[in-house]
Amino acid sequence: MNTQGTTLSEAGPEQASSKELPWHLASLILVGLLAAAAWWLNKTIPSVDSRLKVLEYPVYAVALGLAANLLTSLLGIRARLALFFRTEFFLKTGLVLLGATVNIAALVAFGVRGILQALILITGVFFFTWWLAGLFKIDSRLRAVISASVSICGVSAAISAAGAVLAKKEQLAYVTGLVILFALPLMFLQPAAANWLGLDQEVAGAWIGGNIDTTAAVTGAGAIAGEEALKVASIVKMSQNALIGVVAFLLALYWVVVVEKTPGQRPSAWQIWERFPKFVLGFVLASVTVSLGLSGGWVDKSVIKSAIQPLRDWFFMAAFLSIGFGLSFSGLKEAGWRPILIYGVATIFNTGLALLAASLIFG
Amino acid sequence: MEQQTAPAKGSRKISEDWLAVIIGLVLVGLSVAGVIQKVP
Repeated sequence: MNTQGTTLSEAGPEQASSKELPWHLASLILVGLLAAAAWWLNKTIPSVDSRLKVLEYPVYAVALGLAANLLTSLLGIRARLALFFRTEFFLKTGLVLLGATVNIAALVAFGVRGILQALILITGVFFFTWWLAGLFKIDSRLRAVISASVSICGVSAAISAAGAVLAKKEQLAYVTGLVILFALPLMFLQPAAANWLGLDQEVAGAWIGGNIDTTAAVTGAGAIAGEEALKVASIVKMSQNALIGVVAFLLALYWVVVVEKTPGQRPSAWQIWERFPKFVLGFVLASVTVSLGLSGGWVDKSVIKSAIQPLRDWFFMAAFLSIGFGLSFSGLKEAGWRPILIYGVATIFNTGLALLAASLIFG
Repeated sequence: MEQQTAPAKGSRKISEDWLAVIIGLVLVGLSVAGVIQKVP
């Protein structure tokens, strides 16, 4: 496994030089080949044994990404091949495509309930984690980044909160590692638990979207749970994502006014827009356009199944490959056991509260 | 050595965000227009 302290979205070098060009081309080809391999496994394995249908494409993609991570780390070429393993880019493009498959009426119906659930979970989980980390006397910046990432949406929230409180890069890398450490098992365990509990697709999706921290793992778990669960989970998660800007703004305000006590200084309202996840706008625009096209008769319904859904799945597959390829344990080794314990207890609290909220709001 | 998160990070994230939106919407547009009809 690699030992570089990189975050999910930072695995690749920022700029291409002519010397590095062959490696960047190789990176692009590797992403394409691994995605094709994951697609082939997803198509072939269930036909060998129908019980293996439970293994959806996120499982193959993460496993292949991890295998490539291990192999290229052993060969010492992982960092050079990392440019096109862009988790967040693939994920966000896939989510815009997902928007085209979600009817605007469903988006409004689930979105309103999603915002309600997000407000309950973000407030409850943030302050629980903040209180718990205070008991363990965790550094205040790390405390803020952990609380934001558990309560909102993992890596993106950690990045936003780290920017708001000027956390150290090492702290951000560490929390990113924790996010993946907890999200990956949940991606497989939560759909199984939802099935075991007999939850319907809407409640299962809302539970998954409200609990799992990273949007990528939410999408993976939703895809495993079912098509309807995937849509609800994504909308619920996006409702939480949309609040990142607000939380980052409030955190920055708290830091300036309370922690650093600089009288008269306020973070600008621009921070809300800067940290607002723009793909949410793409998701809504795609949903509105295709919904209007379907009701107006100028969009052929069959194109959603034959083109948009498969395109969406290719982008998600590339995102899951990138998660496996970018996984790093170096940050986890450095910070000791206390943040891991806090993250674990906060995740258990989040799981219980999200199940209660999803059952009450979506049941 | 302690490093703080650089504000410049936000600008790269924003451009990646917008790129994802543009590519996603272009692919939706091409599918709706019938240019992309079938994807494996």
